[in-house]
Amino acid sequence: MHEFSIIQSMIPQIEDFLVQGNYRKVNRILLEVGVMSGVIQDALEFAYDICSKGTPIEGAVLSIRMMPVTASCEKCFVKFEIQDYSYLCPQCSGTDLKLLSGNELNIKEIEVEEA
Amino acid sequence: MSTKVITIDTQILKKNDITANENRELFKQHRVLAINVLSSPGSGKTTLMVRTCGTLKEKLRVAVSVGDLQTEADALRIAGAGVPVVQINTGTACHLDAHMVQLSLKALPLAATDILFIENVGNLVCPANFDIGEHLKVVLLSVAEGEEKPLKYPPIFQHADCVCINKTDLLPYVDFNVNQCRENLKRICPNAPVFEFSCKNGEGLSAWHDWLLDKWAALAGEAC
Repeated sequence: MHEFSIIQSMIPQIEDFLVQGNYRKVNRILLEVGVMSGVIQDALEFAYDICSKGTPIEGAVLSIRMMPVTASCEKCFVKFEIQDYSYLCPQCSGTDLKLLSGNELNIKEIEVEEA
Repeated sequence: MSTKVITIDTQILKKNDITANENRELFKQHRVLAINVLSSPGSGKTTLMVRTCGTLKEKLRVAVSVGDLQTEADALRIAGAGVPVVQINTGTACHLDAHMVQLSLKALPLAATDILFIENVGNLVCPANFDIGEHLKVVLLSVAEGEEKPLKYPPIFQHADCVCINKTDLLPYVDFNVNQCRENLKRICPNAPVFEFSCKNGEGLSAWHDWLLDKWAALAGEAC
């Protein structure tokens, strides 16, 4: 249910963009959501439908791009996608990893109509 | 009428993260080690707080901020350990956010605190998203819950700085496979130390307390 909190944090940010840029309306919102962010796509969409009603962004299409979990090994520097929740380097079995993606919870872009 | 696409690239929880950074700054200013304690309901977080505070208060100044949807029950239990405690009631929210924690800090003597435990709402999903400004995340699970829990709830375990397996006094009565649990944790958070203990009889708690003291010493060393 924290998807509601997340959507409620997103809406005012987009409203601010509309006001600051003097845009007429927003047609589409693109989010990047990491597979390991702990957020469920369906729940996010459900929360969006409810929370956007009656706001300036009502009617905008919510697109969600799921981001895979990727990492680079700090020992042998290979880059790889983490599969099956195994946080080990597939090349050297190292555990000192730098996460490159997979935890995102970002507003990537919006499509707006100019006034 | 023309349309255009604007690249924003901003975090959805930006407001929370700004407040979390303010909390971090406050902790730094007062040289407080802040620990976010996470688990599902009933794993023994509050009993762990009572035990740990009771022991650590002999060496350090400890305080607790404890989150629940309703009641002051946990704060009253922890107060019994003789340390400053504040209860956060989240209403219906399933997690603590940085703002709730910030409000609770006003009720605690931060200038006279070395370690602050922030006992999160019992939930292994939602708190993973919300930075509250803590230095460390501790995830607790009990042997009554099953050894597959780290694989079922990977995000929260992946972010753990340490994992505690509680209620080991129940091991003779449940089918919990400790080795398998450790294997599962090795996959998801290979660098996190794992402690096994029973908050009921106290067995195994000293290693966990030593880890906390080491972490405190490291922070105090950095600040000097």
